[in-house]
Amino acid sequence: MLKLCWKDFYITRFFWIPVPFFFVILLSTFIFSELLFLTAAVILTFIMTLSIPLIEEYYRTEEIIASFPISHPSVVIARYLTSFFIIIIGMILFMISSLFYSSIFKENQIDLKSVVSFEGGMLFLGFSLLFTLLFFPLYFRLGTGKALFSFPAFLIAVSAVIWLINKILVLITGKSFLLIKNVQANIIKSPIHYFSEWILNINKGISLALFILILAVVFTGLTLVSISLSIKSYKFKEK
Amino acid sequence: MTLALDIKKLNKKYSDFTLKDISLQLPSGFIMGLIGPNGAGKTTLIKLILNMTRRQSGVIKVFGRDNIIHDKEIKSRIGFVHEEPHYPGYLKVKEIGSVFSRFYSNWNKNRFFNLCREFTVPENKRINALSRGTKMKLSLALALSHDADFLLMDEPTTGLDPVFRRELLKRFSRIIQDEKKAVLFSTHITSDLERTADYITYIHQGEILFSITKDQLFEEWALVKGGNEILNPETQKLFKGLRKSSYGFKALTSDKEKVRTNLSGQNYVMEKPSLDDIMFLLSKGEINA
Repeated sequence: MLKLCWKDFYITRFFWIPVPFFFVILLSTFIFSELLFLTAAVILTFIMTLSIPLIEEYYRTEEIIASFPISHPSVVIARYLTSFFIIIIGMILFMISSLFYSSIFKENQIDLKSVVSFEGGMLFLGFSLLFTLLFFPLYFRLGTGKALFSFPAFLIAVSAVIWLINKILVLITGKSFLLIKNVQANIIKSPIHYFSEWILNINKGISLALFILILAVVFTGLTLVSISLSIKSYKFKEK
Repeated sequence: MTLALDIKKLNKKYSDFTLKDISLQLPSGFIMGLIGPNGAGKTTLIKLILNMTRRQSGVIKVFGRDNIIHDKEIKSRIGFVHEEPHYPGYLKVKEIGSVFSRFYSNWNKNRFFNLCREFTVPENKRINALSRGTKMKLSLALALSHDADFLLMDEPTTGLDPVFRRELLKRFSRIIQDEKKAVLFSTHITSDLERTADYITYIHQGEILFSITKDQLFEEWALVKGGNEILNPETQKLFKGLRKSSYGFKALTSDKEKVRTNLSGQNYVMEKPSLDDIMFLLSKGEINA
């Protein structure tokens, strides 16, 4: 499995040389809002994770990989692992960029240091992982092109489900876990503050550690479901 | 006799094409040539053997093991050549070798570089800069560098010059000499089969019309030519791949004696067919089951 990850990075190694440079430069456009800065970093990282499937599709190397003595689950899990490595690279670049721009634009009252925090990291990781975990079952089922076209529709459907769950929670607890209205009202104010606020206010009895545990369980479950769906799709895919 | 490949009642259905009840056996120590017109199902069959596509029903055993259950083990013993080798064009030949070496425990680096030199594939050149024939040579070098027991090749001689083709066919014959290895390759170049193949399998519209030894094919099959007056519903049943013109007919038979008995006293000639004749008549003529 690690051989496949190595292969992914090896055959795209030249592509990775200019990436950090462009990542940091592109993020400079979004330094006036922590929310936009975070969103842009998540989207850029997602594009980076797409680069390997896109290169593979362009050169049609999937046929060669399918002829290698590797099991189908290994091919799928390796693709997830590579993406997780890329998300970590994206996170490092995101953090470095925020520190870098905060220091050079100090006089312009730009302070992105708050994203270099536990909450900032969690938000970045959460969204990046969510994008990847939702995209890959589509990619293994439909191929890169079709998956990219259907992904926005899929995201809208997922958002609708989250919105519905939120509505039900509001009815039961009287509290909303979605803060879209507040963010829209004051887009400059970081969503990270809302995030921290929510952690502290959700229930006094729930500690941060428990909250992290719940989040870890949710993401592990989501990862397992996503990987098993992808393995099933890849097994029956025509290569 | 160990069977390198044993396929029984294999079926695969696409929306516009079906591979029907494919059965064939290839013993170790032999070369099988797969022929048939474009779109007959040769590539699909090769992909099914490699478990690159899922079958609907049937059994495929490679060295006695099911190709789905023992997928990884079987693939490690197969040297595969794709009809259009796709490698990232910006990589160098030696870099592709390095990628392959990670996946085969039997990979022999020296053999790969020796084969590259022998096949005149420049190891420091980028794949983009290679001609189609050189890319095919690279593909062959990659397939031959891990001491595969079973060479599975989809049109490996396409795009190669006649000199290299002949060398390659000789190499195939050398490979199977230890009687443990086997070679299966598809081709449109019938002279390659006449030169090397021990078994010939003809596939047409997803069905195998015959899968027999080359000697058996040339002993049993004949090309029959005669006037149209011979043809009637009864005599037509004797032929395969019947082709009529205003001057007469041409057809194949796999039962020379029956033709002799039924057409005694009639004006016809019987000749030894070439593989080209067989391929042409079976794909263009009327086929009787």
